[in-house]
Amino acid sequence: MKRKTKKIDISAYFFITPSVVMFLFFVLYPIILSFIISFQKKDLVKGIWVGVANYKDIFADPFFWLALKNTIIFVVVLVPVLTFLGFIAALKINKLSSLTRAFFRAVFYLPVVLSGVVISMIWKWIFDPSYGILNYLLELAGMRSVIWMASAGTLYYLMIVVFTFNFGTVLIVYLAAVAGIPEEIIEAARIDGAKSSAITWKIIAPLLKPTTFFIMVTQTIAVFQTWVVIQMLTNGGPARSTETLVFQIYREAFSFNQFGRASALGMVLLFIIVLITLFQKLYAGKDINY
Amino acid sequence: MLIINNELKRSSVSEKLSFVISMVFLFLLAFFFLFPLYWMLKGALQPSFMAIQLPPSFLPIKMTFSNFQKLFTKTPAIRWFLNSVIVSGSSTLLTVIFSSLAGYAFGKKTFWGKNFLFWILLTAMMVPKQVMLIPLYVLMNNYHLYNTYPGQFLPMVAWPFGLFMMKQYMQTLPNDFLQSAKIDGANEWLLFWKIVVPLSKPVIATTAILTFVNTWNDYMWQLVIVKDINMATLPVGIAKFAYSEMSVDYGLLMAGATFGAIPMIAIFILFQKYFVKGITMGSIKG
Repeated sequence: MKRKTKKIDISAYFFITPSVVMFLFFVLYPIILSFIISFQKKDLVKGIWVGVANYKDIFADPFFWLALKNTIIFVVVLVPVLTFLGFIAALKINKLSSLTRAFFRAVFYLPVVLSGVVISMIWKWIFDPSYGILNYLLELAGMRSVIWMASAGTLYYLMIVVFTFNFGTVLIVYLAAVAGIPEEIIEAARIDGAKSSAITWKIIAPLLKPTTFFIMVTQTIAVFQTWVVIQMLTNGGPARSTETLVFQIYREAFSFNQFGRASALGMVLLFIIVLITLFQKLYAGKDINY
Repeated sequence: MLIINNELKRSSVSEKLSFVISMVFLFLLAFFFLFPLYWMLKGALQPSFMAIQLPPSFLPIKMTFSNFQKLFTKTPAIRWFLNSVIVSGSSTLLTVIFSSLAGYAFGKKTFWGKNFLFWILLTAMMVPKQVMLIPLYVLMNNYHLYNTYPGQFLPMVAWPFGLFMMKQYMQTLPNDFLQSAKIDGANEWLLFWKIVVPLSKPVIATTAILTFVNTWNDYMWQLVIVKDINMATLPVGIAKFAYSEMSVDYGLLMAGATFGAIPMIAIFILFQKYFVKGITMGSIKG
């Protein structure tokens, strides 16, 4: 038996061929090509080798640094909010009857399955300076209306939409993790007279540390790649103030035909994502304590 | 369940209060998620002049399908819908076939180069898709697949997400069972179809549904690969249309959003448990 499972199996190559061929053509080759194009001045017809000129241009461009700053602000504000609210909501939802639990889970997950286009279109109307419900409510309360998608705070208003878009995933991961905590642990703490806030922060939160870490890393990567919402609601404006890294990749390539420069931006994005993932691998390796 | 029982038994004033606060918190958050959807439906079902009327009506009065009529006569929305069905359907079918074959080999077979290949597949999944956008666009033009259905769905099929899901599940299938079938004389092909596939139904369903929804909702690649508006998938078609008009007709826009949302809401309601399974499978790696 043992010997047989260890035997090298030629038929395996037949099973993996379709997937591997597709992968080589449409994933691996493009990744390598992207690296090569980042050293070229390239459009659809031809490419000229320019060395590191694209990278030099990018790092000299104040709008690149603004986009990077915007992307980091997105992550620094959104990821903690998503994680904290997801944790709290999961604890509260977990205590409910299974029907109410299913209701809340569905409500919070619904925006994730709806296309970003749909969600963005609804918010475009809600944010509309003259016909949007937000400004109507502000005026009703006697406050001045806001041009939501063209003001100094626009970057932060966009986060509201991105939040609804990412929250469902965070919640479901937390719910699965909370359900996995043995009830005896919590019961024992209660019998010992622990307050519910102490149970939350001294027992449950430390137990869920690996989950929290996983959520923070995956959400950082997800938020880094925010694009549809920006494209649909501000198109990077006003005055390029809400551009992100991914937004610039798309714009350089398909508005300006700067394939080389866009690929170089892609490599910068890849570099950052790899750093985050390596950090996860290193840290998670040391700290798993289920 | 145990916790909620104790909560009620122990119902001191402060605990009752904290329960009320929790519910208020959850319902406020839920309202924040549901209101935009309600607003979309209300906008879609009202005459379009009411979308820009002040003060707005919060209740759906004067219901009408005129926005949908306008949507279906002014835009090829039905064609976009069919495009989405074709692109997402092809992507799902091929992904399920290819990834179940490969997932079985990676999960259960021993072959030269296996670990190295799997490592490459996993590492590539870390690469953001935006990095591949430009070279893929150039390649598709070279292969004459620009503005075609295969161009729209092949990159989706190539993404190793399905393979990863299948491998994770199939490696847990009982070895003895597969061995005894082999001893009974089943060849590899029969073994796969008659035993591995039926045993793997849950992961096949999860992969199929997630692939369908991901392809349906894909925006960036679909925007890049399609030139002809008649080839656009539903989200791309609606978005392009929304921005082609000089003044925004919110009633019409909400009808388009609703038309785009309904298939996904239906799939979500029908197959909710598979979404949960898919996410938790992805998050708890062995």
